[in-house]
Amino acid sequence: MGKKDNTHFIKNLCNTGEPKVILLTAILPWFVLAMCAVGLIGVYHYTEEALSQKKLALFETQIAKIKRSVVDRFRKYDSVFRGYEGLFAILPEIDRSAWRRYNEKLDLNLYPGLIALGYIESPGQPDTSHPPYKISFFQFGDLIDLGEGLDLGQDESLRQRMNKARDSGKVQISRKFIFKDADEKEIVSNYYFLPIYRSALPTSTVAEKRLALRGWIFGIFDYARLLDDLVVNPSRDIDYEIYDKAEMTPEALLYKDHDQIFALDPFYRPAFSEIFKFRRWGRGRTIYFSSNSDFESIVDSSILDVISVGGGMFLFALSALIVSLSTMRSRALNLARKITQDLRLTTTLQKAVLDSANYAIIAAGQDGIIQTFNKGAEKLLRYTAQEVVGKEALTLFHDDEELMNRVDDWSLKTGREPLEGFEALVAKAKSLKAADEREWTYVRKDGTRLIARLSLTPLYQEDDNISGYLSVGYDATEEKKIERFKNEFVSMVSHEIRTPLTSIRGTLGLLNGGLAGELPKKASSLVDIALQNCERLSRLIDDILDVEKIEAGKFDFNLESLDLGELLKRAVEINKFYSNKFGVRFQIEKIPENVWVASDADRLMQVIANLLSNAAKFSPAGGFVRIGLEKRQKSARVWVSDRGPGIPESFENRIFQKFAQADSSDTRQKSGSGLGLSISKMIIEKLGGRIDYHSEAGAGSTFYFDLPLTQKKQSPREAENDDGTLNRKGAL
Amino acid sequence: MNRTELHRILCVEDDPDIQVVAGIALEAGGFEVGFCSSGAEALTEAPVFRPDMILLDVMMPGMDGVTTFLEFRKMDEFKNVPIVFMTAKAQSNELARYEEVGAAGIVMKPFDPMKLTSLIQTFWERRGL
Repeated sequence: MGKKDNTHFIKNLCNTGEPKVILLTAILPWFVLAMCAVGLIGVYHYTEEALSQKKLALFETQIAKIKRSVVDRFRKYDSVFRGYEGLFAILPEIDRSAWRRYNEKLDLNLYPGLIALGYIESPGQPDTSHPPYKISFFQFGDLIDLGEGLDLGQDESLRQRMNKARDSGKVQISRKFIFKDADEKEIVSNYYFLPIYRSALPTSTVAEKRLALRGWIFGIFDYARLLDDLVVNPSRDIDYEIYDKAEMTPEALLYKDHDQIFALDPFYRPAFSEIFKFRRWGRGRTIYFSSNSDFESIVDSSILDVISVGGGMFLFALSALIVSLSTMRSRALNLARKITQDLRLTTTLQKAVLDSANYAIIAAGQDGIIQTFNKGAEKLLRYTAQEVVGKEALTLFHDDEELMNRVDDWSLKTGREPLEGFEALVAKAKSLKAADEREWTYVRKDGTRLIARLSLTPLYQEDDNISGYLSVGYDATEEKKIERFKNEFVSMVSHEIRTPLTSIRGTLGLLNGGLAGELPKKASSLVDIALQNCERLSRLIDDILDVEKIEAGKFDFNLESLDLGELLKRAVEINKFYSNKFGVRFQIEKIPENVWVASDADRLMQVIANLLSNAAKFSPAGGFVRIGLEKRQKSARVWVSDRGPGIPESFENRIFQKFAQADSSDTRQKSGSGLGLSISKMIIEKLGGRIDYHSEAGAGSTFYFDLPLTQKKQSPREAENDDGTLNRKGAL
Repeated sequence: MNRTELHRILCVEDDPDIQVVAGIALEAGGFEVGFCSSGAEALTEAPVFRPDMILLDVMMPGMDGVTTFLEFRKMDEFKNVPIVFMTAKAQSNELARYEEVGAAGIVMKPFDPMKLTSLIQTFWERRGL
């Protein structure tokens, strides 16, 4: 997948329909909340309406009662006057005693609203503009300053009302009057006039009426008393005000059952109010009804509070929940988006890296099922990722037989039960807890085979459990070819050079041994030189091949338990010819017993021989080479000390390098290949030790190597092997 | 092992110069030496020459030393004839392989012809141990 494809891929992923869904799911709770709010308001309004209807009905019922009571009260008082009318009708003449008797019969205490009652006899001169309208008889005058003989006609309005009563034959009411009682308390009242006609005369026309008029019965009402005992409204939950005329003005107010005047207060807003107008006794009346707070409490409207408070709280809680949820949600979404994006980038990057690698990179889960299969793997194995990912196990590419052989090997080495399949493949990596690098036969899809070098690494989770395996491999066919070629070349060199060398060495040996007859002295010394150089050439070839093998990792080590002291003594014995050759003496210092190491005897011999020959070579003739073994805390040190010229400081860094010699101009030292120390270093390091030296210019050098100590001899079987190598030693 | 004396040695070696050197050295030691240049030749010549011991080069064109060795071991009359390998300095695992198949000894090339006789004598005396 190219770069362009990748960006396209990312864009595609980002442009899915996801945002629309997110938008919808983000709006949905708010929509639900709004619906809840609307529903709640609806319920509130419905309940309120229902309550309101109920209250209105109640209000209507209450005021209807009051209206009826008021009207009844007026009628009741009216009947008093009708009684007097009847009295006058049956008596052609009325005198004071009849008046008093009638009044006594009539219990006027039953009518507290009537604060004055009297009779005005008609002056009989109806045409005079100002006839006297004097009170003839009077009853109750205690409260107001009125009495018999008073001319009511002096008041224009009263005169008009009386005239109107006379002319119409009907009761007339005066305008509102305010009297003051003895305590200066206002008494709101008005006059009531009932015309009385002579029953013998006709009263059809106004003129006839005027002629027939006997007089007027009048009364004065005290509205406060008239209405105060009205018991129709005991709960006093409705206030009412009665006005004199059709208009409601303070001047016209006749009665109110409360302190303030509500009808005229523009700021007074009762829940319910009604204005009732009616006409009686020839005059308009207005009643203003209004509900008060007591009325509100009659009907239990607490349900509204429950709805509004409870609903409000519910809505608040719901919106708080939505806010918090949507905040959390959006936070989670953002986080998820960021993680996804990061992951996508990482994945893309990983994929790009994986795909661009020339290695076959295959990742598998714990169960061996392939999870990742890169381009390199596709190329190498000719399967497509689609064919194997999630479907096949790592073992698909392996040769069963090879796997089985490896398993058997592994079982032999570790002494564990043989495993099968995938477990067998990863057993070594698992036990190593690190990469298991080996060559394996890979089987391609088409059945062809190749040699692959695989590095199989266990993948660890945070809790240190294995989560899977990573196999990184490459085609080692070419590498194997080159290696084979190199091996062939090396063995060719080893054979092709050694064969003529063997002939030369043999020939010279035979000459030197006198098998071809006695040689002249000069010839004999020349043959000696040739022989020495043959030996040297032979050693050089050996060393080159050793270096080659060590570097190629083909150098085999046979580890066994060795008594280092014994080995050192034997080495000195075997290499004694060096001391003879260079005229020096090998002197073994005290050797501690039981110094055990796990090592390769032949290789150690090779190293010690190298150190001894070097020491001998560089020692002055007749000098001593001291050899020793030290047992240290965790290691054993073998040292070889000479009294030669020492190692120049300038050579310090190169001494263990290949073909290194301090001074090649010194003929005495020319006999080495310059590979000895470098081979020794490689061998000692492969054996888990270290090699070094310390030197003093002019005072000699000491070379030493340290090897890790082991506990005693490890197994008797290995000791037998040790003895079994005798054959070889004989050949040395 | 009827004969206790080492008398006849068959030297199988593809290089004629080495044949000469080995021949002179061994004959100087008093042995009767027969020569073959390849494994195949050795397998046909040996029954005729009837050697007491065979000196066998490891690296030869055609049939190599070990194969020749194993072929000899298949032949009744050579089942118990000591066979010594001649080889260049080899790795310990290779040497172990020669011992494993039952070599009587190993002569490292290049060898000192003056010590060859005594070396061969040592192997002869230690044979079958």
